[in-house]
Amino acid sequence: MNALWQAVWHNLFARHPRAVSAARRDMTLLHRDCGSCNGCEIELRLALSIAHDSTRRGLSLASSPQQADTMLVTGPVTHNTQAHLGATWDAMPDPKFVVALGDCAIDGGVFRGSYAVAGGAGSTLPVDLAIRGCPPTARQILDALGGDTTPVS
Amino acid sequence: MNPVFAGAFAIPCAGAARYLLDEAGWRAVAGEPALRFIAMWADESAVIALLQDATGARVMATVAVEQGFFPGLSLWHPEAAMFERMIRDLWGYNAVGGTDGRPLFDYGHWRLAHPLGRPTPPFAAPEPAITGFAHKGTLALMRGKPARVAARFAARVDGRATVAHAIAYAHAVEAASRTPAPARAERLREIMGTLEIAGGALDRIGRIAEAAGAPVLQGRADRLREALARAAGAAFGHRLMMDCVVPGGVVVDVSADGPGALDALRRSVREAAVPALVEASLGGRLRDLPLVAARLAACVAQVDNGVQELGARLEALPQGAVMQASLVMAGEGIGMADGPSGGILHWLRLEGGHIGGAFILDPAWAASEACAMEVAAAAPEDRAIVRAAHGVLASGMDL
Repeated sequence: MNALWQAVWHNLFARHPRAVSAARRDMTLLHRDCGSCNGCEIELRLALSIAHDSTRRGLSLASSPQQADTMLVTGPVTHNTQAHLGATWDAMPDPKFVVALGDCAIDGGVFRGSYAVAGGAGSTLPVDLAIRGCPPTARQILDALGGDTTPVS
Repeated sequence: MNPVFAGAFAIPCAGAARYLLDEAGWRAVAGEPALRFIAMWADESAVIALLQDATGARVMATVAVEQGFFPGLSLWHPEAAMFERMIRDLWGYNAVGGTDGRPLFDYGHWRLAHPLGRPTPPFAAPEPAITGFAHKGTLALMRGKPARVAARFAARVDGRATVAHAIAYAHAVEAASRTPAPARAERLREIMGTLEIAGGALDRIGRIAEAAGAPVLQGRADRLREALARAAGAAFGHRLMMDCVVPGGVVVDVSADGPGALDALRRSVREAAVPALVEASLGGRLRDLPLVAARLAACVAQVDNGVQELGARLEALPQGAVMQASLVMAGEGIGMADGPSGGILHWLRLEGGHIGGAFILDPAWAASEACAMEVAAAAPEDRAIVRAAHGVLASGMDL
């Protein structure tokens, strides 16, 4: 990936993935668990389930990096996953974004400083959006990711 | 007591008999058919094997580590191989006669090697990790922290079993310090644990339905899972009830809205009629998959029973405090709890109120190999369902 192009891109379109993909009104998320305790996964699964009608919000999960426009990172990035995470990111086409989901993905959370943990997603990727919480609730995840937020009846 | 322990020095540990053995005694234990191997870990200059005797009682065998070596058990107990690999990666103690020399967690990426033993710089050029992706260094982070602070790490061993791990950890601290939690706290823990197991069961039903292509059942399970998270949040202040259970008791009593929210959950579960829907949507598909069908039936029962009993349990809560401070600073103990994927065991040693040493046995240790074998034996089109029914995820085992 061209570093200059990436720098220009990130300065032009600050920071929310929707800033660009709003035109399409959808986001295709590639979720990578980089050492999560599975707590964020419970809330993410609920956020993307029928219980919150996520397809109407334009959110869907990709099954390969080539289909995705947004990388969703959960967990502290462990040293054992760091290389895999970088390789997956490189395989995603531009334009692409990084969402750090949960306190661990933001800065390592309670695992910060461990010999086995590199830190948050920012240790490896340029983070565009951070969603706080341990774990953030399904509603908080959807509010942060934006989109159609009319209440589901 | 099994005769192999006759004459051995007994080390006090609340919750299980613990014996110090010489090498000959350790080998006698390894070859004793009446003792079932459960787990193995290390402490300062010693290796501890957890075994179960014919009566079901737990017993711990301990052998000294000399010059970094201890007699391995994997020749007698194949399931010990993974624990020997972990002990070498984390403590740097080598199993003599071990059957598997591969790393389990440490592929040379860490800042240091042997983090729980005598830390050294990384031993080799980094190689691609095969296992241990979720290894976060939990045991090293717990060590040296006050028991109350270390509870935050116990609660994050596996988020799907955060309550169960917190209960097992609290039980271990309370056993080590000989200070049980108040009765009301213990009952509240049971309620939280039951809710968590029901939530895990709904999660698994949803995943099995997804893998089997049953969207109606999946949708209903996911909606109920969300309703359960909301009820738990209303009753205890956190949707997963994370950090609610700590050594000494619980940090929150059930809220004023709690009984109403849990009763609404009970009604939603009844109206959802999950058992009938499971039969209608998956009955035929699972006829040739008896193990999956049995796991699914167990999940359905966990949801129903767990939620139905809640009202009576709330009414029967004893009055009194929910927290009991402990003044005892040193000791050793084992604590257990039932989680969504099975029994959880925590062992720990307190030193001056801080964690001197700890080990956490998550059901994933036993389940991961069983899952891999079952998945390999299944027909290709059934593998996703078999995997979903097992629900094995790395974090609990990777520590």
